[in-house]
Amino acid sequence: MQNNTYILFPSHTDGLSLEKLLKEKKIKYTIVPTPRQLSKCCGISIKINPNDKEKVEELLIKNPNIKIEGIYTLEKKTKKFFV
Amino acid sequence: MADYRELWKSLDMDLEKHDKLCEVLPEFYEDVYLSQKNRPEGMNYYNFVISEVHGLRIKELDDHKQNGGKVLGTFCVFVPDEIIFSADAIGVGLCGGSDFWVPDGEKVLPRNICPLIKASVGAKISGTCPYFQSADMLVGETTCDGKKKAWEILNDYTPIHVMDLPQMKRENDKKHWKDEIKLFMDKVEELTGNKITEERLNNAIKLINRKRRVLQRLYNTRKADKLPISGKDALLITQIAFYDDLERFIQKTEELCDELERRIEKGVGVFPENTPRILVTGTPMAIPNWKIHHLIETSGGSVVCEETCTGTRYFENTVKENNKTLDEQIDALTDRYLNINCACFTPNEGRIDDIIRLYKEYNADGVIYNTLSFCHTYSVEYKKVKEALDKEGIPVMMIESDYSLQDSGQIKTRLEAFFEMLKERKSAYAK
Amino acid sequence: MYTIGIDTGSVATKGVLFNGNIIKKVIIPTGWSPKNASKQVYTLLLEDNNVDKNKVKKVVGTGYGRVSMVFADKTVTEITCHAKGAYFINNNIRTILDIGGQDSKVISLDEYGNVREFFMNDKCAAGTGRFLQVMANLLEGDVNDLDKLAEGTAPKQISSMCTVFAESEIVSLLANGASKESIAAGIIQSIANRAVTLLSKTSIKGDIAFTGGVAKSNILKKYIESKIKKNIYTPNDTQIIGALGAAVIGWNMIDK
Repeated sequence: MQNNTYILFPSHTDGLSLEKLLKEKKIKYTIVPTPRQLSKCCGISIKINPNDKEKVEELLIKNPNIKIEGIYTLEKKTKKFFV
Repeated sequence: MADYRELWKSLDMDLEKHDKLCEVLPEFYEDVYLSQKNRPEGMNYYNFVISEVHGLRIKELDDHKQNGGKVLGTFCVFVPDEIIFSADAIGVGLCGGSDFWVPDGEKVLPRNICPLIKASVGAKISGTCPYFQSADMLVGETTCDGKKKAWEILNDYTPIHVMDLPQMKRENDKKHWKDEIKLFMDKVEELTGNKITEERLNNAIKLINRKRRVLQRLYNTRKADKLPISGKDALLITQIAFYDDLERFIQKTEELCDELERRIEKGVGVFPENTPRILVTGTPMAIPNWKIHHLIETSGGSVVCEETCTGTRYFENTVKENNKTLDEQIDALTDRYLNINCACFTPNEGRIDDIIRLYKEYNADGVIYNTLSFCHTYSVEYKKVKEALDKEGIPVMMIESDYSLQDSGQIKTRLEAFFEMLKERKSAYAK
Repeated sequence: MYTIGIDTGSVATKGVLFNGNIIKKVIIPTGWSPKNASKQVYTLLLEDNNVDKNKVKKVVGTGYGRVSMVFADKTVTEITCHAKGAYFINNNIRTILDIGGQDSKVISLDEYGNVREFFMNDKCAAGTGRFLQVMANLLEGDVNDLDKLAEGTAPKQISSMCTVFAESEIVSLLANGASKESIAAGIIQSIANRAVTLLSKTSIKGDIAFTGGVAKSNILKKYIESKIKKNIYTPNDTQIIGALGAAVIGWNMIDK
C-alpha cells in the first residue's frame, strides 16, 4: 500500500511560501488540487512523500510565518476515467 | 483553505451545482496529469493555476472589477486581445470543455450541434462557470453557424458584442475586418470609459506578442528528438494562456522553458525512445478537454504539436510593433488576425500548408485529425487535407469525438493500430 | 517450437497454434469474462495437441479483450493482426473487409503485408454481427440460418442503418405482410450497403479478403461482389484470421 502526504493551507500564499522553501531544501513536492476527502473548498495543497513528513514539519516549526491547516496522509489511489 | 464561497455567491452562482463540478476535478486531474512520469518541475505552476482555476484567478478578476476595471469573456482566437487590454480591461477565455455542462446546454439547444457550443451555453445558464459570471460583456464572432445563433441565446444573460468575421480573404474582406476591429474598439471604449491611444495600443500589442513568443519558445522545445515535455502538458499551458494573468504567465512559462532547454541539453525525455510523434490538427480543446491527448499518450504515442486554436493558430505570427498611428496599428492587427487559417474560410488552403510545414518542423511521424462531433467546417475540410497529405506521403487518421468518455476504448484501439502502422513504416524505411 | 495467437473478440475468442503453419484452431464463445475465455483457449490449444508449454516461445494477444490477457508476451491490435493473418494465407491480398461481432473495418495493405491505412465503423453496432443477431431474433430465427432463409428471394429494402430504427422498420414490414425471406434478404443487403460504403473509403487494389464471423454469409459476399464488381476471397475459416496474424507476429519475434 502506498501513501501520499498532503499539506493544506489557509491561503495559497502560504502554500507558495512553503513551495519556495521545499525547492531550496530540494525536497520533492507537487502542487495539487486539494483532494475532496480533505476539504470541500477548491484550492491548492502540496503533496509530498510521506517519508519527508518530519523534515517538512521541522521546516514549518522554523518558519512560523507559514500557516498551514494541517498535514494529512492518504492511501494512494487513482481513479481511472478512460477505460 | 481559502474560502471562495462568498465570492461565488456574489457572482450569482449555483453553489450546489458548482460543488458537483469541483468534486470531479481533483481526481480527474490526478488521473490525466499527475500520473505522468518525470514531469518538468516547472509544471507545478500550472498545477497551481488549475487548482485555483475557480479561486484565485476569479478573486483577481473581482479585485480588478472593484477597482473599476472591466472583464470581457471571449470564445475565439479571432477576437483581438490587444484592444481589450489597451483599454485596461481583462480578456478571459470562457468555459466549454466538459461534458458536465452539456445537459444544461441541451435544454435550450438542439442535440446535434458541437459539444463546445452546448457546453459553453450550458456553463452560462447553469451558473457554474465563474468566468462567465465575472464577464461584463461577452465577445462572439461568426466562425460557425452554431455559435452565431447561440449568441442570441447568451445575449439574454450577458450583453454580447458580435464581430462579423468574413469567410473569405479577399481585399474587401480585409477592409471589412478592419471596420469590425474599429467597431469593437468603439464598443470597448464605451464599456470601459477608457480611450485607446496609440501608446496604449502599442503597449498592448507588445504585451500580447510577448505571450505569443513565449508560447513559440515552448513549442520549439517540442521539436527536440527527446521530448522534454508531454503533449498533454503543453496543451494545458496553451489552454491556461487564455485566461491567466499575462505578466505572471509569461514569467512562469519563460522559467519552464529554461528548464526544458536544460533537459534537451542533457538529453532528458518524457517518453521512451521510438515513441511515434503525432501532430494533432483540428478543432479547439477547451479546459478540461484533454481527451485526445490523453488517449494518444496512453496508447503509445506522443503529441509534438497542435495545429488548432488551442495550439499554433493561437500564437503563430506576431502583430507588427511600433506603428506610429492608430490606423497603422489597426492595419497590423487586421493582417495578423485575418492570417489565421480557420476552417470557416473558403477556400482554406493555408491550413493545408501549415499542417505540412508543422509536420516537418516538429519531425512528426503521423497526423491525427481531430474534430468535435457536428463541427461541419472541420469535418468537411478533412477530405482536402487528406488528399494533400496522401500526396505528401504523410499518414493521417481522423477521429471524431465529443466530450463523453464512452468511446475511449474504441479510440484507443484505433490509435494503437495507427501507431503500430507508423512504427512498421519507420522500420521499413530504416531497412 | 510453437507460437500461439489469441483473438478475444466481443462474441467469440479464437486461438491458433502455429509453427510456421497452422497446427490447430480453436473457437469458443467469449461469454462474460474475456480473461477466462482467452486462458481457456490457451489451455485447449496446448492440451488438445499434447504440446509442452515450454515449447511455446511466444503468445500474442489481440482483439478487444487483449488488455486482460496478462499471460501474453505482447499485445497487438486486431487491425495489424488481420493484416498479417490475411497476408499469410494469401499474399495477393491488398484489402481486407472484416466484420465482427461489434465492429467492422477495412484495412488496406502494401505489397509486404504492412498496414497502409484503415477505417473502422463508429461506436454504434450498425452493420455488424450484433446487428444481424438482433434482426435474426426478430424473425425468430438463428443468425446462422439467415442465409438459408434469404436464398433466392428478392430483398425488401431496409433503409435504416441504426439497429434500433431498423428493428422498428422490420416490425412494420412484418405487420404489412412482407415475407420473412424477403426481410432476411433485406437485412443482409443493408449490411452489404454499409460494407460497400466502408470499402469505398480506400482505393481497392489487388485482391480483397472478407473476414470475421459475418463473412460466413455467402449471400452477403455475393451482394458485395455484385456492388463492387469484383470477386472477393473468403478464407476457409473467416473467424481465425486475427488469431493467425497474432501467431505470425509471435513467430516473427523468435530467433529460429
